[in-house]
Parts: sequence; C-alpha cells; structure tokens
Amino acid sequence: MKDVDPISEQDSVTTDDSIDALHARSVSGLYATLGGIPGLELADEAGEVDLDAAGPSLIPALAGEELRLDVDGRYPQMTASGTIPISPVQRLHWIANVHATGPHTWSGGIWYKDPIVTPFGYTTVDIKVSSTPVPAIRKAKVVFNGPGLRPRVRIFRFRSQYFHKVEFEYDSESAITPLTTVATCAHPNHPATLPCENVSIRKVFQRAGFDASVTPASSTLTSPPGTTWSDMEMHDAMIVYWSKFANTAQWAFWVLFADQHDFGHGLGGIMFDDIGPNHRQGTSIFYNSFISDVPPGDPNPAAYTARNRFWTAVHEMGHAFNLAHSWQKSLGAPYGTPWIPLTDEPEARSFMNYPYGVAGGDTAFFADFEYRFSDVELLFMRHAPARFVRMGDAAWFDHHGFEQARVHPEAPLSLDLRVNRTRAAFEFLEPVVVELKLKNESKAPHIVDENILTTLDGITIALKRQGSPARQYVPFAQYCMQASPRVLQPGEAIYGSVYITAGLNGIDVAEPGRYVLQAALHTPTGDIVSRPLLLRIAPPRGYEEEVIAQDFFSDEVSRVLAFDGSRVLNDANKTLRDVVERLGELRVAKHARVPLGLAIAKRRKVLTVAPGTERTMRPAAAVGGSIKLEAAQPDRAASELKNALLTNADVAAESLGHVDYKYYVDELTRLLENEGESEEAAAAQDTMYQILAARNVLPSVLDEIAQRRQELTSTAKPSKKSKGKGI
Amino acid sequence: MALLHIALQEGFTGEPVAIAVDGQEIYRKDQVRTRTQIGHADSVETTHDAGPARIEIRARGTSSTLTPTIAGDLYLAVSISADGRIDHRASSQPFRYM
Repeated sequence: MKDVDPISEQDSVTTDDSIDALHARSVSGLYATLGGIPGLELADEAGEVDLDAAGPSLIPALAGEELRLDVDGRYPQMTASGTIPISPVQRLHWIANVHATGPHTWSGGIWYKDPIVTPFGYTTVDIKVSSTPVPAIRKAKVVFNGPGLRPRVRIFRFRSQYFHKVEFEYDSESAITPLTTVATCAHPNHPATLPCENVSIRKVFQRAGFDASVTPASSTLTSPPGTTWSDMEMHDAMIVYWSKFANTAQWAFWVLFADQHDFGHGLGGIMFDDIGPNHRQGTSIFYNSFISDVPPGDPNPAAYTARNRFWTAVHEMGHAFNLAHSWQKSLGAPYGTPWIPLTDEPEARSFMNYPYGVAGGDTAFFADFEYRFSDVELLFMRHAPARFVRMGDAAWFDHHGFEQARVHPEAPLSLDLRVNRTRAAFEFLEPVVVELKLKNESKAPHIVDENILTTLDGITIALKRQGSPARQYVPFAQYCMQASPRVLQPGEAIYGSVYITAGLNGIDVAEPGRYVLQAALHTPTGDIVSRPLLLRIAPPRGYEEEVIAQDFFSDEVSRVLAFDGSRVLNDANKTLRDVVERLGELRVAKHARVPLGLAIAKRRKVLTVAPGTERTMRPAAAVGGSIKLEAAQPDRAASELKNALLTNADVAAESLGHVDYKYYVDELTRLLENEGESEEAAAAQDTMYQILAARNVLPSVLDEIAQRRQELTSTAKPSKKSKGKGI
Repeated sequence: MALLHIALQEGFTGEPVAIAVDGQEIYRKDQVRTRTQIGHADSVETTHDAGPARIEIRARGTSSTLTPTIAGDLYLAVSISADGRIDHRASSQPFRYM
C-alpha cells in the first residue's frame, strides 16, 4: 500500500486523463435527441434498431428530449429517467425502474412523472442501446407504451457518461490548507475489500454521476486572528469571493475551508446557505473543530484526521445537492416534503450519515464505509427533477424560463425586452408595460412580419417572481392578422408594447418583489432569446393603496386596462374612477384615466339584452337583444386624456411606455381635431414631441410627430376658447 | 460542580420551549426551530452539584421529566419525534454537528 500525503489535490477543470473511469465499457449516462424538428429524430441512422412509425404524439417535440440511463458502471440504480419539453417553459420529467431483458435492452414501468397532471399516458418503456463500443456513435431507442396508445418512439444520441455537470470552487482561510484528496487505506480501519487508492472530492462526485470540475480560480481569505465565522459573514464572503456567484440556480457552488464557526468546536461544517432566495450555494468546513480531534490511542492520528476532514467536506457538499442527513430522509412538513416517500437510513454507510451516530460509533462506520452515497441518495442526485437537486434552485422550473431553447447559433435578429426608464422599478399598483424591439443585426436585409410584435405569433414571454415558479404570459386577446412582410434593413428595428401585468393566466406581475422577464422568438432555425429583464414592484406606501388593490387587481379591471376601456364593465370602471380620485398623484391614475377617456371618446357599439329570467343560454336576438350605438362624450374624454397624457407628460411617457404613449396622444389629437380643436391638437403633438425628443426617441418618430403638428397648425382655426381674443 | 449541557436537536418547528432544572427555569424561548442541515436548534448550559437532578422540558403542549444522577459533565440531547414525543439521549461527551 502506498502511503499518500493527504494534502491538496491539484484538481482543475476536467481533462480527459483525469476522468474517473465511471462507466468504462458501459452504456449508462446522458442521451439526448436532436430536437427541433418533430419526427426527424425518428430516423434510424445506425440501421440496427428496428423503428416503428411513431403514433400521434401526446407531447409535441419542442426541443431536445433527454434520457438518463443508469444500468451499469459505478453503483447502477437500474433506472431510466428523462425529460420531455411540453411547452417553451416547461418539461415533463419521468422515471422508470428497468431490468435487463436481453443484450443491451431494458424494460420497466414508469413510476414517477412531474408535473403529475400532464396528460402523459405512457406507463412503460422499452430501451435498446446500440452495441458499439464507440460512445460518439452510440444511440438509444426508447419506446413508450401505454394502454390504448400507439407506441411513442424516440432515438437518442449518447452525450456523456455523466448525468449532470457540476462545478466547485474551493476557497480557504490563509492558515488552512484544504484537504480534497484522501488515501482510502491510509487508516487501518477500512473495509477489507475497499480498493486502496487516492480519492479526490471530485472523484467522489464523478462516481455519483456528475461531470465534476473544480474552478481553477481559488481565493485565500485573510481574517483577523481569533475571529470565527457567522453564517451571514460566510454568505457575504461567498458573494465577494466566489467567482461564479449569481442569484440564480446553477450547477455550481462554493466551498470554504475555514478555521471555526461562531458555534464553536462542536460544529465541523455547515451548508450555511439557507439565506435569501437561492439556497444551497455555499458550504463550509471548519478545521478548528471536533473533526480534527483524534481519539486517544488511534493507530494513525494523521490519517484519522485527514479522513475526517475529507469526509466532512463531502458531507457538506452533499447538502448542497439537497441531500438530507441519513436519519432525516422521511422528514416531512413543516421542513419540506421528501421528493418521493423515503424511509430513514440511520445505519447507512453514507457520506450523509454521522459516523459517530451509528451503532458501534465511527469505528463501526468506517469499517464498512466505501466512500460513497447511498442508493437512495444516488437515485435522487441522478434522476430527480433538476430543480430539486441543482444548487440555488427552488420550486418547479425555477428561474430558467428558456432552459431548453434551441438558441439560434447565428441569429440575424435580436429581440430586446425593455422598459422606458433608467431603473426598472415600478410603483405598487402601477401597470407594467414592456417594450419589445426586434432588430436586424445582420449585414443584409431581412424580411419579418410587420405585425409580429402585435400578434406575438411565435413569441413566448416567460415571467417569474423571485421565489415563485415561472409562468408563461398569455395575453387576453390573440390577434389573427394576415402576415405583412416587411424588409428590415441592417440595423433597422420594429417595436411593440405588451401590457404584462395580467393576461389569461391571471395577474402575473403585481405583488411587490423582484421579477425576471424573458422573451423568445421561435423561428424554424432556432430561438432568438432576449436578455432577462429584471424589474421590481415596490411595496404599497399606505393603507389606502392596499385597500384599493383588493379591487384593482381583478380580472375585470385588468381587461379594461388591456383593451383600453369598456362601456359595460361598470364595476371595473368604478374602481378606476376610485383610483383617479383617491390616488390621483400616483402613476396608476394615469393608466386609469386612459381607458376611462378612450371608452367615451367615440360612439361605441354595445350589446344590450333586456333583463330576463331565462336559465338556458339563447341567442341574444332571440331574447330581444340588439347592438346599439352609445353616444360619445368628447369633452369628458378629452379632459381625462389630457390629464393622463399632457399633465406631467414625462411621467406619462415613462409609465405608459413610448409606444403606447404615442398611440394615446395620437388618439387624443384625433379627438380634439374632430371637435374642431386643431390648435389644441397641435399643442398635444407639440407636447409629445418635446417629451419624446428629451427621451431620445428615434428621429424618424419625431419627424412623424413634427409633420403631424405642422399639418394641424396649418389647418388650425381659432378655437372656441380663443374666439373673441383676436388670435 | 458538573456541567449540564442541554441541546435541543431534531424536530423543533418554531414552538415555545421551556426547561427547568430542580424547579428553577433556566431556558425559555418562544420560537425554537431546528436547522435541519446540522440537526440542531438551540442549547443551554448550567452547572449542577453531583447527585440527583430533576430536569423538566416543556414543548408542544407536553412535558417530559428526567431524573438523572449527576456524576460528571452531562450532555443531554432533546428531540421531538414525528409523533410529538419528547425524546432524550444522554452522553458524557459533547455533541458534534455537521
């Protein structure tokens, strides 16, 4: 046996020669379909798998599907799992227990699917893997079967011998030398059958199924002598020192090797990051703690300490993968719910148990310990939905609105989601209007549908409140417009606006807090994805705002705001009037005045039905219904709109957004012009010109406004108000 | 005098806890919650003469009384089981967490 100095490993980002032979001559690992073009992945290029024609799919192929096959290699769990895109923002996750049915074939029942309500009726899988020893050309054919369903066939290509990637960064206090490798037989108390080798932390996680790498950039922290660490200080240090820190979910986390926690000698390490919205991104190991204590008479004190330090580091890192202690597996509410029903494993020889907690203490533990996680833990790490395992993740599909987007490799267009303000901060109650910009980034003209930013045809907008699941924005109205091809010259762009606060999904962006919005344009050659837009909704500033919010955040009010007014949704109009009268100084009042004004700016058609007692729905005509024209109230409409748009016009342009602001001022202008107030109409255009010019709106838009202003000025007659004043 | 260390460990979910030794209350907190990643909620220490002691722990509307004989430093782990029982475990060694 070679005695190894168990000091620091020289780990770096994965290189071929350092990869542990996890699945040598095995087929286990990650597979993926080509994705993108439904049906294409059914082609049998290898010619060795007998393909059936796939039946009509319950689940459309939106992008690549994944398969994780776990049937051989290190610690096989005899499990297959996979993900299937079911919408641009969501994946179905399935898991099956499988058994071998022949050479390179496995079958078994699907026992887990998430989300559970997805109409996915397949109950079994039959898997066949090509026998080639060359991973690069290895394929797997999966046939999904279910009662009454035609088989669903998918062909996957081998991608990796690992199930997921993960990256660690080791930082340490200046007096600490991190120990990240241990010699398994350095201490005489070990299983007789344990291979004697140097095992690194990285190798432990590779064997657990992860393509683990260690960030080359590590930092040394210098802290004042005699001081200890609080959780808050470690969290702050993580933000400063971890080169990959982000308030987001990612397969990466930070490991701090430190002297001692505030808790004292009795705390060997902690996954300290249960602070803020993105947990499990940081762990610490404390060398000035009991893990460095050696029992009297131990035959190899140095090896005993080294093993304890190594073991503790992996234990804490295991918590970052959301692994509970072995005796806590069944723990339910209020701490959380096990991802599947689990039983405790108080005697497990796992990194997640306390060695001194088992019968016989740590002598008994290490006599049987094989430097591994338990099968239950490996099943979770390899096959549970990623959001349960991935560091920083929270609830279903947390954060990654377009995780599976087929991002266009050389997109000629860019899509931008933005707000017309320097800081994307909104008052409580203020409706959120975002602007979409589609720009030709190429050096050649590009044809787009001119209406695409109105119809949102082929555009998905995902939005997510911090700490909540992501949602897909679904507008109240779906416009079906004839495509209107338009040539976008290089550098040219088209613009649109979206009232994002509410839609058919309900009210999405209203509660105080931080939100992330992202848009994707789906094209046949790939998705064009916007950068995430981060915005914040401020909390209410008083009791009155809270009270009005109870009526304001309703489906009816949201529809009136989305459709710029209503003549029939009287409760909603009453609420908007209430907003104007009680919260007139707030931005929401401007949004409220616009539909109140536009609804009465012109004559409007209204369906009227006499009140009746019929319980059966009948055609309106059959119960005396008719469409009637209701008169306009131009003076009241103009008053509302002028208050909304021309008083504090800069605030109006910012809050309503430039695109909508121009549309509304043009409507006001038309109203005034029709009423013979051309001079006032010209003044409205002039105000808009000044405001938008100051806000650096495109010259072409300003030219258009100037031209309209000029037309109105040249046709202006003395207004009713100026008559008799000799103007 | 010996050290008497009482550690509140697993199963505390934010409830009030009170501990009395020989009729004298030494600990009371309104919200005690286990940090599951280390299996520890809170702890309290006092000293006690060698000889019999009476330790009463009240939590979740129930109580448990222990009557150990103090002969040296005593470490007492208190947990609440899934069915709401107050469990305890005594040791002559300090508890360790990670």
